[in-house]
Amino acid sequence: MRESDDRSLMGEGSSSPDARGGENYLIFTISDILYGFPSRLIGEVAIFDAVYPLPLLPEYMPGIINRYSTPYALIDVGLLLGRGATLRSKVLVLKEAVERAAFLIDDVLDMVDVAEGELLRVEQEAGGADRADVIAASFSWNKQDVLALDVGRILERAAREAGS
Amino acid sequence: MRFFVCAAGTVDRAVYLGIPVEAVEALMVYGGEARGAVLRERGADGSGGDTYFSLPRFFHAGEGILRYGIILKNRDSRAAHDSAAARGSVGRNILLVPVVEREADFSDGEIHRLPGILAGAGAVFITGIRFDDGGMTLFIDPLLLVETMLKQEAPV
Repeated sequence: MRESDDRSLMGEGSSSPDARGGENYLIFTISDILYGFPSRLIGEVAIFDAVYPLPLLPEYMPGIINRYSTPYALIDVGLLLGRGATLRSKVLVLKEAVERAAFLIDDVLDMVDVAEGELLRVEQEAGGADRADVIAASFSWNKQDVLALDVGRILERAAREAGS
Repeated sequence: MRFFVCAAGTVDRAVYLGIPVEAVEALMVYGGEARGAVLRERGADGSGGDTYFSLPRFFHAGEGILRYGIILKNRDSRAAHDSAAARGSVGRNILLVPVVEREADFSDGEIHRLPGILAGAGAVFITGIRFDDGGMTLFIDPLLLVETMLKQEAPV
């Protein structure tokens, strides 16, 4: 990994949800489907370099990546959602304070502010472990639907299943 | 702390294992292929003998000739020790690796903790990680590794 390949996505002022209840989202693609992550959680987007496998991890966790000599767990949202493996092109890396985890993605498209009223919440079943549980909401961008991923639920599920 | 640094196998990216020297009784030449992740050998009297653990198989790091055995001190496998003791014989636990690269000291500051989401029961035998130009070294608690491999092998 060349550090110059990295794109810093975070400004100091964008570390909390919008005062009006909205959120700034990073929009990216995985296998031509649009997804969004709250940008305040993201440390950087980097070119995928290598993953080191570990035993006993679920299929959607290919292993460990090296970010500046610090290990990050790699998660493949495509496999998590049962939509096939994501190309190993780029990784979206969470801030270390959030969790040392990174996600395989295809491409970054945009960063947008989304007001609370524009979010279409997805109903969650209590105690459910369905794939849809990791999608918190959806919103429209350029006349296309973007699935807002629930990072907390993804991490909870990964921790549960990696530890079993 | 001093470790034996062993290649975990032969894959496109190098993965190494750091085994604490203090947990090791001796090194042996093995020179065979693993027939499974865990192989139990019968003792001469038909009771429990040594147990071999193929680390390349377990770490998905390729297969091939396993040249070395790392014989653990018996206190480093409570589960296997108890199980063998119940059968009237205490065998040795031997970790099989393709190559023991070197012995090296690593300070705590050089070793990173696992990411929090991986720190559960499944990876409890990994005590830390270190990256360098050669790849990744996983530092191992042999006691917990052996217990984990035995649990994985046990029928559900």
